[in-house]
Order: sequence, then structure tokens, then C-alpha cells
Amino acid sequence: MPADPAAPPPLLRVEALTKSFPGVIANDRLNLEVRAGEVHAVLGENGAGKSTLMNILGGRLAPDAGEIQWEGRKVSLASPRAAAALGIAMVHQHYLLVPRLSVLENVTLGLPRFARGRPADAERRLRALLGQFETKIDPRQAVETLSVGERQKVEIIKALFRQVRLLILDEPTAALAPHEARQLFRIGRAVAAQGNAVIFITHRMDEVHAFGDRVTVLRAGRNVGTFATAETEPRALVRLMVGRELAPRSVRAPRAPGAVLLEAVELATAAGEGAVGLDRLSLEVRAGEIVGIAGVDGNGQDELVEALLGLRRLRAGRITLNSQDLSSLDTAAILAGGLGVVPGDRHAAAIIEDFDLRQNVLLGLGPTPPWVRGGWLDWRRIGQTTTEIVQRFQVRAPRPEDPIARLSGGHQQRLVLGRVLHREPRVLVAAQPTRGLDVGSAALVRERLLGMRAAGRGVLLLSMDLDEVLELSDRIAVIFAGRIIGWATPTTSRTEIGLLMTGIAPRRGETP
Amino acid sequence: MRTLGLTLLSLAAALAAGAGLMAAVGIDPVTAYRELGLGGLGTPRNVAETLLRFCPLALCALAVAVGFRASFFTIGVEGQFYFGALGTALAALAFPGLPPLILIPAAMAAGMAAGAVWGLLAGWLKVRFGVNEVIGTLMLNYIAVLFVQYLLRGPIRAPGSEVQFTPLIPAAAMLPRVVPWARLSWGIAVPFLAGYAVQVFQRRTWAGFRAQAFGANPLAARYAGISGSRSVLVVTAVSGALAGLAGALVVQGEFHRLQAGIGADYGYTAIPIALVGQTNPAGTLVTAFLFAAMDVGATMMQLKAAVPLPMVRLLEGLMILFVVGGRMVLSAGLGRRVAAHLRPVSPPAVPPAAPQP
Repeated sequence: MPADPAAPPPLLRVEALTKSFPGVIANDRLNLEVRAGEVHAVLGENGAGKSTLMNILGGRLAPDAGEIQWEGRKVSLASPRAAAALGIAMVHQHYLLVPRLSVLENVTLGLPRFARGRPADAERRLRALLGQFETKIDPRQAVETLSVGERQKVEIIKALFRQVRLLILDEPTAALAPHEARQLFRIGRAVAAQGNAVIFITHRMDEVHAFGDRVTVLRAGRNVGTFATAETEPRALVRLMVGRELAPRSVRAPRAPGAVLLEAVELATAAGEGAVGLDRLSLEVRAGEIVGIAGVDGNGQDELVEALLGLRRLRAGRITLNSQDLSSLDTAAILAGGLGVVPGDRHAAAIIEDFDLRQNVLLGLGPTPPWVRGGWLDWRRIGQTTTEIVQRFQVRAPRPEDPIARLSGGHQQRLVLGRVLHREPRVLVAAQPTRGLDVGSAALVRERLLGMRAAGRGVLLLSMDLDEVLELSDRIAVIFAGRIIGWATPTTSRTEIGLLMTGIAPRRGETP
Repeated sequence: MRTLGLTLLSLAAALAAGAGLMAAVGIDPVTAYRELGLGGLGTPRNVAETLLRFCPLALCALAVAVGFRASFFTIGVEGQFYFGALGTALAALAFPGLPPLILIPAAMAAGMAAGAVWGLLAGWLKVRFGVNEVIGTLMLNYIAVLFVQYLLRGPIRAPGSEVQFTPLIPAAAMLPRVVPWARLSWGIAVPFLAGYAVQVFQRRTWAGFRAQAFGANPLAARYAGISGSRSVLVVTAVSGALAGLAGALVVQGEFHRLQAGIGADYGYTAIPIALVGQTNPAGTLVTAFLFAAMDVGATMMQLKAAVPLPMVRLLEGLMILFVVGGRMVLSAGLGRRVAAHLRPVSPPAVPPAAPQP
């Protein structure tokens, strides 16, 4: 890295940082330099060492070797408190908020009294910050009533509230709609413009170029290059990141749609955590097609999944699968009837972290032969099936008896997908199936969804990632305020879909 | 293995702290501990006495462990114990003519059924009305204990007796003694069989798996089609049956009748035992034995080393504090590592030797 002797020292300099875990070198003599005033993207696959690096910067992990300099002075980030004292704030993928407390209480939680100021002042400041985000979040609202996207905003606002110097965002846009992402980066830009710096970790190339001043690519725990984004092009970065050429994105073979498999008619439910209930929502999924649901988070996606699974009571409406009425069945019967699900929140709803791989597979298989006979578990068969799934979905797992918490997110998701597909569902409801996954795992998930389609089954894909929806879906339904506000096709322009997502309904005659 | 080592270390630390306390109030801890050990395990008779105490403690602790494993935080073992004892006594008294081969298991089964019903009631209150199980089971304890007391005052009191107890149960319902010189009955086999059954329930049955899944992550369980209500009902029934079995053993193997104070707070002592035993069957049985030995040894310690009984309770308290606290200290020390594991720290996605482009 060329050093200009006249330039002031960078805000943060990391030199030869090394951190290993049993069997893995997560950071291997890693160097990184972040300047005041810049937005710095950090790009890398899962397992490239991004999270470890960020945890070290956040004072949550102690490095084995290496040096960290802050404005030219050597510092020790021995604790999260030490990091916070310098003005380093992190926003994690998994939000660290207290659900029962209000937004205001969460934001001021842990602040010393003098920094918090009088409650009224704190609330005024918070309202001002919230205003910049163009959100309807109320400071007195309990966090548990917020959607995932809104919770993330609260996390960021919490950092901004603390006079941040270095804001670290871990995959900040995973749960956001495009316009929310733009807002977020506008705010990030404003933070940087005041002489601070922003690091954001991402998989998404478009974000690197749209919002990053510079980009650092990590691979296998090392910095394989830092560039000004204006001087790089996406393919080169991807090649650096994965160390090989990526296979071209899957192309869907055209298919004539088959018979209707899943039909939802005029569904209505009470509001869930996203505070939006379903409002006479109707849709159908045919054999051999992927129906994508696009929409801003918190518009009824979670409620739709829960309603289909029988986890949320229908106030009105009817759900049929293969002309079997599911409306009054319980979840077990619905799953047995041929509906499969990949839950959107993997940690909360898909896996049990304390359980091993076999137990997590059994969870998805349910009490069905040959794994469970007459109430008795056959661990030998369950183990065999686990091994099969591990092989077929290339799960990088040591042994079926190891806890699933040892797997990276991408490989956990492979197991989750593998176990649901093992039941050969007629229709798969896949919520955010690639969210937060490494490139390889995401590609595998997409490929298997297309495999469902090719096998004449149906997929209902709910995703915040509009690119993914456009790439995979045969038809796209845009959900807004609990109803399908309009339909689109993969050839519809992003702008048009974006308008629908913000609630601007199409002109008459455009719905198929 | 690691948790076992930690538990032993914590117990040693608790004994050390107890020694310090005793020394501070002028008791010689060496003598005290010697008498405690000898009292609990020093002679065959003392061992037999310890095993007698062990039976209900172990079964009650298993009942607690089954509930806690499924995140059903039951305090209700005490009440279910009393219901079990009542069921067993009534069944035994109702069929005096039956041969032992039938009456012994039948009376035992009646106790289990009565305990299960009382347990199910708490489960049903939770499932149907969302009654918090801690409050629900605690209230049901009062009802059960006072109801049994009421019965002992009148309806089922032994005719002509001043003491609140039922008549003796028929000899055909009594569990035979292991040796003539001690009160210990063959009921001593029951906790081990029950421990094995709990192990099988948790490891080999769908009902046990379901309960643990629901306890560990209710949302994931629901997404997998597991009904929380059914899981809670099964767990409360199994837990209640174990507590009822403890009551049955005390009636059939020890007192040979139902009488007031028969429970000696087993249902409450069982909670720390289950916790110290990490809510797994083997750990729970070992801990129950330890607590039983301390309980029996305490009397001896009190007599010979002039250690007041509260000191024994204090020791037990210290053990719980150190074992449960030790785990927390450990997890705090591990906090950083755990935090790291929560983040995806997977092996490098690409072999480090991959050629640079």
C-alpha cells in the first residue's frame, strides 16, 4: 500500500492481524487501512474472515497477533467498551435489541446518564435521527412490534446516537428494500462526510460500486487487495473473492405452467410482529413454476408464510394444496399434505442450535417412517438420511453428531433445504432462502429451487433480494400492506416493481 | 466429561467455603465433615438409610428434570408427590384381598396415575389458559397438600386414631425389605429403572424428542409441525407420574400408610438436585444420592460435632450456588469464544493454496 508521508494517519490501520480457532485460521496476517471520510466496503465469501475481523475491531475477540492503530497510535481493543470508547460501533446481522423495551430505551440502553441527557432531549434527538430515515418508527414503540428491517434501522440509529467515528455495518442491506438501502447509504455517506468512516460488509457487487469509495477483498483470512471502487470492475472483484471464475448464473428453461398446486383465496389474518395482517390476499402456484413475492419487509410476508403453514389463524379465506383444503388443518398435517418450508429466520425458526445435525434433520422430517415408527426413533436411519443430505447438498460438516451451531450459516441453510426437500414437498415455501449466505451456498439453493421447478413442483419464493426474485421467478407478485398489489414478470422493469413495492398500484389492466 | 469435572470442582469449592464458614463460627470443619460422611455412609445401616432417602428424592428430581428439559419449569412435584401417595394408599386400602404380585404394582400404578393427573392439570391450565407453570404448579401444590391434610383429619383417618394417618396398608401392598435390619425396601430398584426409562424417553421416543425440541426452540418446533400443547401435556403427565411414583414408594416401602408430613419437602429439594444434575438422568441420580447422604449424615454431624442443622442446609445452598454459578462463571469466561461461535466462523471457503489470479 503506497504511503503518502504528507497525508494524516488513517483512522484505522490493522497490521498483520492473526486469529485462529481450533483447526481454522480465520485471519491470517491481515492488513487493512480505513481512512477518515470514506465508505469502505469489505467483500468476501462466508468464512473469508470478515466476521472475525469485525469482532476483533468491536473488541469482542482478542487477536493472537498483529497490531491495531487508531489515528496513528497503537491501541488495544480489549473489550467492547474499549472499542466503543474510541467511537467504533457495529451493527450485526443478528440484531442485539431487547424486544420488550421501547426504541428509545434500546437506543439509550447502557449509556451513562450524562450521555443520555434528559429523557425529553434524548427523545428529541432520536426523533430527529428517525426523521432522516423516513420511517414511521415511534421512539416509544416496543422493539418487538417492529419488523426485521425496522429493527435494523434501530440498530444503526443506536450507533449514530453514540457519536460514532467508525461505523461497521455487517451485511446491512440483507433485509432492506432498494429504496431503504439507498437511504441507509445516504446516511452512511453523511456520517463519513463528517470526518468519520463507515465499513460495510457485503456480498453484493452493486452495493460495492454504488456506495463504496474503496473496497477490500478478503479471501481465506487475508486481504487480497484494496482498490478504489471507481478503478475496479465487478468480475475482477468476484474472481479475487472466490479465487475462481463463477459459473454463469442459472438460466431458466421456459416451461408451460401446469395445474394449480397451491391456491390461496382472500386470506385475512390478524397482524403479526410486522404489524401488518393479510388483507384479502390471493395467489396461486402452479406445477412447474416459481412464484416470487417481492415487497418491502414488514408488508405481510411473515404473516403469509405463517398462514400457509397453519401457524397463524385465518380470519377469512381458504388455502388449498392439490385441491385438499388446508385451511383448518394443523401444521403437521399441512406439512404431511405436501407443503414444505424454508423459514425466513434460520436461527429462530429453522434450526435448534443446541441440537446436532441428526436431531435437526429429524426435526424437519417429522414423526414419519422409516425414521420414526410407532413413536420410536430409529437413529441409525436418521443418521443415514443425515449423511445422505450432507452429501447431496455438499454440507461442510464434520460428523452428523456434531452440533449444528458449528456450521457456518450457508451450510446450516444447505441442511435446512436438504431436509425439507427430502420429504419431496409438492410446493416449497422458501422465505429469504439465500439471505446472508456465501456465494456458493446461495448458488446451490437457487439451483435446487430451479430443480423443484423442473421436476414439476411449485415454489413460492419470498425474498428481499429483488435480483433473486427477478432471476428465479416465472411470475412475481408484489406484496404491500398485506395484499398483492400487483403482478409482474421477470421482464418487468425494476423501477415498475419498485413503485409497486412502495404501494403505488399499477394502472388498470396491467394485472395478468 | 468437562461438565462433570466442573461439577466436582464446584462441589469441592462449596465444601471449602462451608469449611470456612464453620471455622468462622467455631466449629471444627474436619470433625464436622467426618461425621457428615460417616453419618451418611459410615455403616451399612447408614447407607441403607441414605438409600431410603434417595428413592423419593431421585424420583422427584427426575420429575423436575423431565419438565425442565422441555422448558416446563415445574414447581409442582410436591403436590404431585402427595397425590401419588394418596392414590397408592387408597388403592392399596381398597383391595386388601389381592395377592402381592398384583397389588404391589397396581398400587404403584395408582400412585403414578394420580400424580400424572395432578401434573396434567397444570399442563392443561398452561395450554388452555396460558397460566404460567411456575405459578400454576405452586398453587396446585397448596391445594394438593391441604386436600390430603383435610382427608387425613376425617374421611380417611384410621378409626380411633388421634394421629393424622390412614390405617396401615395391607401387607400385600408393602414392598419387601432388602435386609431385615434396615427399613430399605426393594423399591430401591425403582429410581434406577425410572432413570433408565427417562433416558429412553428423551433419547429414543418421538414424544421425548418433541418435548426437548419445543423446550429448546419453540418457534422452530412449531415450524416443524410440533404441537406445543401436546408436548406440554405429555411432559406434565410423565413428570407427574414420576412424582406420583415417589409418593407410592414412600407409602409402600417406608411408612406403609399415608400420613401428614410424609413428603418432607422432597418436591422442593428435588429442584436444586435436578439443576445440579444438569437435568440428565444419570447426573440427577448421582446428585440425589449425594443430597440423601448429606441429609442422613447431617443428623450425625449435629449430634457428634454439634453442628446445627441449618449449617447443613447452608452447605446444600452453597453447593447449588457453586454448581449453578460455576457454570455461569465458565460461560462468562467463555463469553468471547461463544460470541465468536455465534458468528459464522467456518473454515476458509477456498483452500489458502489457491493460485492468485
